[in-house]
Amino acid sequence: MSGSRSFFVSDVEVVARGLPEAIAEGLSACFGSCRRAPLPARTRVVFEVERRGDGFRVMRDGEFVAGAPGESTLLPALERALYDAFPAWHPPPRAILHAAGVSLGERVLVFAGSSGAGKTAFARAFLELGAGYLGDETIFTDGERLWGFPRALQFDVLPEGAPPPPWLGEVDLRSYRFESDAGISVRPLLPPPEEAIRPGPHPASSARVILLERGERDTVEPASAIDALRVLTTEAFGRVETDLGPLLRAPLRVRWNDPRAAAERLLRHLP
Amino acid sequence: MIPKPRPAVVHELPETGETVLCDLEGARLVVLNAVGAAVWSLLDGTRSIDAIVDVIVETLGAERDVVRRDVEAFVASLAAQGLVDLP
Repeated sequence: MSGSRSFFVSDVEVVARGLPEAIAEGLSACFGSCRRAPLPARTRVVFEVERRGDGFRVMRDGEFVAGAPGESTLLPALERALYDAFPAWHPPPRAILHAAGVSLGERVLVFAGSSGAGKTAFARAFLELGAGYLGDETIFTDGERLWGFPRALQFDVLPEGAPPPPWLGEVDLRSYRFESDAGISVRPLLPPPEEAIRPGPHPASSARVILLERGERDTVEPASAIDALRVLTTEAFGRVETDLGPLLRAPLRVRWNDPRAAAERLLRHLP
Repeated sequence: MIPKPRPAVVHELPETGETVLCDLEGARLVVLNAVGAAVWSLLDGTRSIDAIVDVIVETLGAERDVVRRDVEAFVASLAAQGLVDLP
């Protein structure tokens, strides 16, 4: 009665074993779009889930990394263990940017900003406009290339039973239920279309950094490279151990109220 | 005196030509001028301030006292920002 799933984070193969069926399905919903390694696989990390009474223990390569008191809390615990391990898996010189990425022809747009700034909303808007998809939260770079982690787009958590905001549209609300102190919640997920998945690697010089902020209306203006560098380095996962200069040609700042309208406005600003 | 640089990355901004020194946590970010960038590249944990001044004087042909004052002030400002350890 246990399943396993595997997927790639950058050049690391992640294997999760001992999963209750619903959790295996949840992992597939989150990471099923990451079946192809953007770089040749360098290593493999194995998560084993062990049942202990009513709860679960998550082991990484034989070491305890997370616990979950029940099945309804296991998927977020697994995800957290995965994200906690990111920096350790990536040898320098690299940076793991907290950013979304889409490709338009030869160009890559890197959407940066704090949580809630609109990275996922812009990734979705550009997918609807026919862009390729690198990821909605994580971009890797070694200063010469950049590549993504094309997991399903993850939107803000909703309490179970709450009416979804109308802008979520066709997002599959059943994919990811979990329990926390706030009660039962739902993480809305949107798997990227198979043909749009393009994690790269892309040349770092093809990147255009877009700083996202919420605003009263939709505006697009030039940003300074230093402001863009500041956002990328302060928001990065772990240490920034590589020159981000190649990504910092003509960054833009987008303040937005409606992500789709702002995305279309941004498109008109790109040569 | 031999200053010891902390781990940091130099980011070369493509359009402005600016050089930005940033610690690995992204907490400190210092825009370097050409001399500052040269001094940072010479800070290898073995060169003394005197040795760095020698190289800069030789490269730029500037007056030694002026270079020494600038290098000392620059290294002190890096130390104040936690980018360099002074013995």
